[in-house]
Amino acid sequence: MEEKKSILLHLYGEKDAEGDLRSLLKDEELQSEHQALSEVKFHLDHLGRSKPDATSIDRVVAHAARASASTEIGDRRGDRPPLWRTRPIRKVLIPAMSLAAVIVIAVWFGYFSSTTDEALPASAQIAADEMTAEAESLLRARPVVSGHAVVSTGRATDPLLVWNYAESLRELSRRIETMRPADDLDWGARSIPLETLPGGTQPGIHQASSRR
Amino acid sequence: MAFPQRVEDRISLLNPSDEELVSAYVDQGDERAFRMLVERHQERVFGFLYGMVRDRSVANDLFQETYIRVISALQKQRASYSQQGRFLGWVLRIARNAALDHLRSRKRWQDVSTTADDLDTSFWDRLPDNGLSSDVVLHNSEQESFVRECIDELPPEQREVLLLRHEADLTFREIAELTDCSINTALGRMRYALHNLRGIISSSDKVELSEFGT
Repeated sequence: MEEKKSILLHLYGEKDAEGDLRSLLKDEELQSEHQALSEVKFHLDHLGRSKPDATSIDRVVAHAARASASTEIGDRRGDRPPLWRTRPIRKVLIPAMSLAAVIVIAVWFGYFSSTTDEALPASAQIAADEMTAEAESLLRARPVVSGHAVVSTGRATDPLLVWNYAESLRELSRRIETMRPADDLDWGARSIPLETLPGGTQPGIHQASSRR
Repeated sequence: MAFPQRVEDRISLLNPSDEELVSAYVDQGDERAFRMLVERHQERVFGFLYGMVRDRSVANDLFQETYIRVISALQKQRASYSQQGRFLGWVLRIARNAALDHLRSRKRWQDVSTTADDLDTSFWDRLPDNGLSSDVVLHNSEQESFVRECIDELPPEQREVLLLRHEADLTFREIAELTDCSINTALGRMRYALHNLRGIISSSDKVELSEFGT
């Protein structure tokens, strides 16, 4: 089939290779095809050419002259300007609404932060004063040395804190002394009675009901 | 305007290209350039139209219609032509559309006879303008009309390709572009058209195929 189309191209002069045509025409079928087609083509080539009426050409040219005269050169439409593609309203509306919402929230927070500073001055001031006084009193406190409280000599009316470590120190000393012999114990030694161990401010074991 | 010095420019001045003629008409309003353009391609365009509709007066109307569309397109948006490339191909595309529009409308109104249109054709238009004797002219005319009748019997696609190749002198590649098909399809249609035409002529007892061209 391709060879037959190739013959057609040769016949109409659209394929130049002469050697190619000769090789094609060695085939008898292709040769008869070429002969049949060229016979019909020959007769078609000798058909007369048809021309339009002279009046048709005159009318066409007259129309062309009128069209040219009615259209000034400056008025001729050039390339159209580029058109901006219309964006869907959804694509415009969503970012705009988001931006508006952010602005509204920011304004709302700004407004309420300013109003709360102005609306709560009294309670906040009282709390701050109390905290300051407490901190100052703690700073003025002094520890007690050997059972005597050393009191700061600031204002006489201020409440003073006094620590008395004497009793605690004595009790601790007693415990240490009591436990010291236990260092000499070894396996097999006699057990120490529990009553000898210190149990609080009063030595010895007390009944649970007596701890009051 | 100075006389061109270069040989190519002189040749161009004597035989301007289609593009130069279009430019002369569109840019300077030179109607002579447009006339030259119309006359240069009149046989191809009219031959194709006449082959499609087989009615001389209708073909004349379609010829005018085609060029009115061409003028309108050139005046409004010349870019559409520039992108098309070859002027003749562009005009033939417009002519083909005009012919198809006409054929569709005729099919719609096929019950209306169109034979009366032939009466409107002037007698002087029918006279051949060559100097051959009346017998030869009559013989050639009969043969030609017979072949054209045979062409009319071809299927529309084959007839269109045959007319575009023989009347409009388009290449098969240009025909393929114009009719929106592949070059193989165009070649196939042409081949079948020639074979069918040969068969139609051979089956007719009017004229022997070998008589043609003598």
